[in-house]
Amino acid sequence: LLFPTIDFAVFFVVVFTLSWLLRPWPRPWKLMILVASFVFYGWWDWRFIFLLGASILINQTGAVLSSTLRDPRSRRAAMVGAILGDVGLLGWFKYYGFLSVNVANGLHRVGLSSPAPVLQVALPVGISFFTFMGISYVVDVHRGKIAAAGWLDAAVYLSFFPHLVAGPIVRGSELLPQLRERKDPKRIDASRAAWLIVAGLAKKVVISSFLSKNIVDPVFALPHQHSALEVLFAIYGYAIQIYADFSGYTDIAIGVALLLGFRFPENFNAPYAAESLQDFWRRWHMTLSSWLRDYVYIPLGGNRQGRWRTALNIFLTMLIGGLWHGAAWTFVAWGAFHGAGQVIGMFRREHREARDGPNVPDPEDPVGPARATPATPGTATTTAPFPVPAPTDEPSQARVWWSRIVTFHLVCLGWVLFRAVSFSNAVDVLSRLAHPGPAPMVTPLVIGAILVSIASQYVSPATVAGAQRWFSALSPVSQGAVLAGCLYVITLLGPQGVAPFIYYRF
Amino acid sequence: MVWRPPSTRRNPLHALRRVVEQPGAGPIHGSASTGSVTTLVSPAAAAAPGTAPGTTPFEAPSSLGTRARPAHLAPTTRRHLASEPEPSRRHPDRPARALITSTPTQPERPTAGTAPIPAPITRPPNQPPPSSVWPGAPLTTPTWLRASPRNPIGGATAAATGTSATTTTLLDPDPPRSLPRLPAVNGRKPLGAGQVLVAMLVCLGLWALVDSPALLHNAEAGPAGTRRTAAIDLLKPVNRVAAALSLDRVVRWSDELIGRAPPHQPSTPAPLAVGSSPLTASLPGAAAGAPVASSVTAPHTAVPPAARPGLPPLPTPTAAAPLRVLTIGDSIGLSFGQALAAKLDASGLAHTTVDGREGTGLARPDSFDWSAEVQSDLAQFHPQVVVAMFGGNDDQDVIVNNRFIAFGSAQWQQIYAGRVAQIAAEVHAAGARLLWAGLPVMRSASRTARYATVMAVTREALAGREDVVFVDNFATLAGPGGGYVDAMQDPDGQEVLVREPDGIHPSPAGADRLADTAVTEMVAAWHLDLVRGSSPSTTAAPPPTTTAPSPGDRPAG
Repeated sequence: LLFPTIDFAVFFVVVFTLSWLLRPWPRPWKLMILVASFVFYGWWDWRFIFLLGASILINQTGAVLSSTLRDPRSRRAAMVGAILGDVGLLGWFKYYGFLSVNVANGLHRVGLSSPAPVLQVALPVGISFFTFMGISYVVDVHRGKIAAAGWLDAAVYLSFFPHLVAGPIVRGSELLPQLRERKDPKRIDASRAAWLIVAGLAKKVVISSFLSKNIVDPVFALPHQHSALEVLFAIYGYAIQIYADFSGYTDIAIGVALLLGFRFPENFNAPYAAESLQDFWRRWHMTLSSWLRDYVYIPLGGNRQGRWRTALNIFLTMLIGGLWHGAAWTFVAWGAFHGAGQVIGMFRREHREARDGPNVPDPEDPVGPARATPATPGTATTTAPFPVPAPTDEPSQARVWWSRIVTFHLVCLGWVLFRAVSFSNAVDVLSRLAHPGPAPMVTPLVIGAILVSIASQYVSPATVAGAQRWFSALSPVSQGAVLAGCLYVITLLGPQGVAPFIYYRF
Repeated sequence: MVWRPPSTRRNPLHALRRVVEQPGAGPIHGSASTGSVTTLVSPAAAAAPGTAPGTTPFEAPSSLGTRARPAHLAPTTRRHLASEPEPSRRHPDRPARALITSTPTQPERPTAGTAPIPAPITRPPNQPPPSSVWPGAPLTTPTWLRASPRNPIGGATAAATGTSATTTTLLDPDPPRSLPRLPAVNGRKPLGAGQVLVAMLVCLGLWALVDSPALLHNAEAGPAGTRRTAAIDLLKPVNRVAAALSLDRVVRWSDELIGRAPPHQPSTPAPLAVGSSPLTASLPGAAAGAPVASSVTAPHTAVPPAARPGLPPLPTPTAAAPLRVLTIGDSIGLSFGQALAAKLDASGLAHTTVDGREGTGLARPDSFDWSAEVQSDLAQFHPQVVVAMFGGNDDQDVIVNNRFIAFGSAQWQQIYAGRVAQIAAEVHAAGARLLWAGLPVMRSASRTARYATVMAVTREALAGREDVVFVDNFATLAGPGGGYVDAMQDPDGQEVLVREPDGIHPSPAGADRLADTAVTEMVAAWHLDLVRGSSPSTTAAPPPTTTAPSPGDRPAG
């Protein structure tokens, strides 16, 4: 089920009603949510519900064994076994085609034939998300951060439909305790949920679809037909499109969960207001960033084995993060680009500190550390994935804006790799930046959509809070009427039919 | 975890944990929940293994003026949840009902099978049960739960003190039955579940009422089945009510305001073709000589344009006067068209326009009318060559007179052939040549069989037409035995994935291969000099079966 569809609206009204009716009886409630989640997932292809079931089975078995076995080595083996099971599922469904082709071609170069057939395996939606959640659950249980949940709790946690297909990646420590709480059916934070859902729909249906159709897709498909200005705005447009698409999904997911009485972690925090690449990763897909930190970077050794090893660990972590997004060398290159950017930022920072002493911000260092940033509109203060303490002195506004602009363009450069279907496609796109010409696609609406989206990252939290307060003071009927108006405007401005979310494929 | 019935179940919202710091203790650094015991850890212990806080982008560099981080910013153990300005503590569901006091110096690992030992309850004397456990609690919250220097973010957040922390977790020993009244969050007034349901139903109902023409149109354009039938049955009365209330004017005004053509096709049938057409002779409900109605309007034309005699030879394309090519199609045709455009335009002798629409086809003009779209494209781009690829969404019933014509039936084949012929006639009338590229073989055998039906009907409809080439691509992306393959070898012997994971769409490499075939056929059929930049991308492809669309090649289905 796609969120912005009537099917989902009907589905959710039913689930919402049942959920609050069954809330006093936890076990029936959990069974109902479990069935609803499997229906939600099986809507695409019912056969994949077995995959989801297998993932739950693997992870819960690993968690239970990891917490009950007496021998530490056995506990560790249980954890490793579950992780291997997760990685095996992910590897088969997501990476087999990519790996088999590259292995076959590598062997071909040395005159050998590959023993494995080259196949494209059907990719189940959201497999990367629930696999990562499963890994974090097992590892957290093994580390003793959380206790192994019951089978039903674990199944609900891993399959809970709001986060199932495109995150946010919710940790066991965040969701499992909420499954045990008794929710108050009289205290639903409906105004915030409505804000998130309407904003998410607007981002996805209006902004993302508009930019995709009117400039991004045509330019990236046939860059040679477009001038430098069109290519430039297509790159900007893609930066906005993917943000609106993904953050729109997570906004809706968080809002839907909130209506059911659950709190999800924030996933975005005005990423295009970042002042460095490092800052960007504290704001973009934050649940993935923190996941990579806790389950890749730290196990690799973190920063305790010298600066070069630290740099390598950072680079490898971002490389894996890139590969997580897709089975293609362009995604690997995208991860390498960000990894290299973070490493360069780290070395530049060290150099600057050696020269000037600590806490001297360098606004011309777009990959260096950023100032601690305040909470942005509509978001709670978030734990930074890569936390850096705030320097004591503040750079000038001009320097801050310069850092933001440079960082935005570096991120956009990375998005070209991310969006391109091949390296040659990326080169074609970038090379067209040197070909001036007419730009009929750069319409006022395209420019306006991009500017408004960027400007939205700087909206005052007080403004958002005020709007939510005003909305919450309305009667339920009035709230419904206002929402109906918003819905009508969104459907009016959006295209017929809704394309799947970009991050579904990840 | 075992849940008890409501009458005896402890309400976790009443379970409180309170942390009492030792006087003079250090800053809060982090916390870790170890099973059913909340353990507060020292900064050193809180740091995850493998990290030394302070030197990497992943951790706070100590050399950058490391400050004490409050607990809610501790990097490895806490993340804020969306709905609250501050994170709330979790309430492990366990039978403990006591104030659990411990003084750990490092994280404890719970021992399997052992429950924490409840300690005596210590609550401020005469203190009523707490009214809230939420962070950021308002003044109605008991004082001892509010944020204070000793308890920075209220009773819901744990704290740690230096290397020796005293952790005091207060679990309500006797929670009241009724749930506490939680405070408004940041001034937002919460609603009850019933009120939210009312708001949702009002929202959806009003929206459905105002936007009923579009919703009804979308429902009618959906695939045949129970869902479509139910949606139409539900929306028709809504649409009538909206019309009675003149709400359709809202849609009209909105469309005029944003300058959009009315997107809503009338749901009432409109004439599509006359009864004398051979296509309509056997349609249900078609009386002799009477107009046959379809569920859509066909504003562009009612009769296929008259065929023109053979077109004159194409002029030799030059850089100054490149060959104008238009590609049209569904999602498969879109990727194919883009690959073809890249290939043709690379020669510098062609300029290609790609018009691809995902989820469309010729079977359901009520969803998207390709005949009208082609006429518009022809008028706008004046192509000399049109390349079409359809069929990916056409293995479904068609609707005529609000009746479904089963896919593959004789009537279906007649109707579909007529739509193919309509497009061919339009292209020919505009003075352009038409190359119709067939679909490749699919992973699913049943899907392949259905597409074989579509392709056979298409081939037959194009048979004998002037300046039309049909390319059978079933073998273009097939293996040596003619079956489906995911990968093929390029000229260097390297494996290349030619299909997307869905087993339906071609990958960029697969689309490139389909484009190679099309270019080869165009050059051969119309003697074009477009070979520059159109080198074949693979070698394993068997030669495509070129047009010769001959009557009598009926599909198996």
